[in-house]
Amino acid sequence: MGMLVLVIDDSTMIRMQVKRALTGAGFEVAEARDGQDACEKLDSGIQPGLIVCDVNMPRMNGLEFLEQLQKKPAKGTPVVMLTTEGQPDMIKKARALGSAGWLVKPFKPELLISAATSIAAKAA
Amino acid sequence: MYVMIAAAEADAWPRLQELLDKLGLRTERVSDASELTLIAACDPPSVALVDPASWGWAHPILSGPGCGDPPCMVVGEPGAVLPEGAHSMIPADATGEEVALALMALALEGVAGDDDGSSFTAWSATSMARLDSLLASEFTGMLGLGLTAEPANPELPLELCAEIHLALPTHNAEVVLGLGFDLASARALSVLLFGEDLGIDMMRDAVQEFANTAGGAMKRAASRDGLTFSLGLPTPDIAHIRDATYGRRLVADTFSMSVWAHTLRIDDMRHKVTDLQEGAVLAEAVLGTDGDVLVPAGAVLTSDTVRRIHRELGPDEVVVVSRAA
Repeated sequence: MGMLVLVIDDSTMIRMQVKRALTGAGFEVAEARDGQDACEKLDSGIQPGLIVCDVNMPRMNGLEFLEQLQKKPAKGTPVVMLTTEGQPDMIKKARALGSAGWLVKPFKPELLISAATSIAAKAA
Repeated sequence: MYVMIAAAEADAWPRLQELLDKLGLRTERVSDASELTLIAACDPPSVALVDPASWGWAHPILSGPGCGDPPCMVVGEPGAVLPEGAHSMIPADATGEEVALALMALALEGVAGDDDGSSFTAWSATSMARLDSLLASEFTGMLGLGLTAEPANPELPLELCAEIHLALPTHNAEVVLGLGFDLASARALSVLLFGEDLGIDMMRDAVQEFANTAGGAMKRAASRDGLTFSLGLPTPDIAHIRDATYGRRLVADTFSMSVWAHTLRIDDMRHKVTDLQEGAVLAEAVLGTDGDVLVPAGAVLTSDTVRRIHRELGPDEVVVVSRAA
């Protein structure tokens, strides 16, 4: 079984596209519709090897999720941000909060797969 | 944007008319006072272009009750005296781009009331002119096929739409970007994206994500020009389509996408923490009890942020937002 990737995005379309790309490359995918939903899923016990996370989302955005992640047992799980944002301040803040990468939408599936594969290889 | 052309000569400035059509701007021509009274009262224009010979009858009606007092530009010879009440004058032989930018800057004049407004106005005018290539390039990347920009088609039904707000609290201004599809185009797009028609709910979500992508592209472009917008969340609205400064259709073989953009002036609003809502943009940073920045200016509030402010400062602290949710 491939590494589990938790995909957090308020857009069903994006979750579907990411899921399609990652499952095609042998990953398992779990989905959450915003940061709060993701926290609940982590609290319920799922253990992803990688998290792919949007920034602008209702209820809890991606940067707030990174802060919350620091307080959870899943702290240390690599997180790749996948967003339309590209503001240097925001990227810097995400890095400071432990984000491992930043991809700008519209994303190229091969880039995401390459990032996920590289992270999976480091974890193995 | 809706442009009223008031000129005694019914077919004045054919080149200008052609240009406005190419820009996808809606126009109405009037050639006398009674026509102007009738049309402008039913449908007040956002901008008026007036022939100097028609200024005497056109301006009193345009600036009167019911017409909304739109900014007026006179088409005249260089060095001619600007009539009282006119905002600006362009020469009759101005290039197409000069006319387009002047019109757009004129429509944005209301946004430019503060000291920093001029930079925003200049940016808006040029960014609207660049929006075609920016969005065509962004969506080409997303869809993997070429799109061409054509004039907007007001007759086209827009069954699936989304708007996204980009707030600029430092300039009390906001840009709204909107996207819309007719049903056949939405279905064709679904097939293109997913290999099958996944139904209306999925496409509604996809249109919002398209708006998000367009907003992100505009935000990044503005950032390169030194303006830092806060990007809101897309909503299924067409609230600003009528007043849009920019209107176009991006066309591919199997579908077309209507795009519009509008600029708004927004005022700061003071809210108690208990009244804050998700989606509002902070006009000023919220400081914690230790004086450190708790939430920076420009942040788009989420329910999590509101909870954090509430926890730190209590329910009665006043926070300044530049756009209500």
